[in-house]
Amino acid sequence: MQNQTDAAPDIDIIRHVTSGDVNAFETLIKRYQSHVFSIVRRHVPRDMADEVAHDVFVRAYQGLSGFAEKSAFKSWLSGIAVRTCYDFWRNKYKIQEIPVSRLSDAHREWLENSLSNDAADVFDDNGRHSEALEILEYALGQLSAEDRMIVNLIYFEGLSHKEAGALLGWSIPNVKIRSWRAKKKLYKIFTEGKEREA
Amino acid sequence: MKNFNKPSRQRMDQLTEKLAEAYRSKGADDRPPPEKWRQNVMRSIRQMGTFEEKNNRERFGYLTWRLAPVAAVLLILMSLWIKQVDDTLEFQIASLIVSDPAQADVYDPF
Repeated sequence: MQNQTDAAPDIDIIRHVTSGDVNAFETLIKRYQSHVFSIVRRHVPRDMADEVAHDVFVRAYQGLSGFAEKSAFKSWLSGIAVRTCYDFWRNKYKIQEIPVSRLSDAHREWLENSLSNDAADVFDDNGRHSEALEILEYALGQLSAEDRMIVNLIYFEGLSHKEAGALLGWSIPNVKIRSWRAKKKLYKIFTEGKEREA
Repeated sequence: MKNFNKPSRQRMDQLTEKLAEAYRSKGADDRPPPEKWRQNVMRSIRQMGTFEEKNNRERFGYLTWRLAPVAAVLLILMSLWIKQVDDTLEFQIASLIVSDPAQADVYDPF
């Protein structure tokens, strides 16, 4: 039975699961775990990825009877993964568990050099990748859960407003307004140190 | 002296691109999760039961809520009926005492 379902199309496996064969769901997990983890690892801290990915599959199972066969299971699952990450951050903000990181002098210098119009091109330096990652975490930590998700999806993943709205279950005008506001906040975060100096 | 007043649009775009690169690198780790993780997920799912069991529970919940107004109406009607019976009984006892006070000894231990 397991071998049969391994090669079966998603929709057949989903029908098996909804008709009572719970074990068939494991085939879907094996098939899409890498995809779900690649989404989850980008949005939540590394040490929380296992837990959040677990929640994604549990939610997918719970909502399987409502899966509309007209869309692909992979994109349906992606939406659940993104919304689970969003809920993770909302919950963190609710219980105020966001670590308040600070930029070190080295980070600030990197940022200032990056934004300085007179500076040499620092972006060729691949050795500064870890600093970019830390600055990214700092900047995202200053944003609300909604803004964080929008910045990730629109500016870092390059999704359209429509695609981001579909993943988060938000309307397109809402996504447009939020992305514009989030970009302004991000700009302020990157330039606030320099404004203070000026 | 560096011009810190207003970063050019080009610099902001380059910074965003650099941060986007860092962001994408977080998801680049394609190591599969350990077998134990998958077993834990399946355990959670098995605990939730099959869809048939789930549907039965949902149907039961649905019926409970559908019948709740009927149960409430029945409860009100029964309360009114009990109150009416109670009043009638009290009236009958009172009239018995008034009409024949010597015989109407409600408490007679012997």
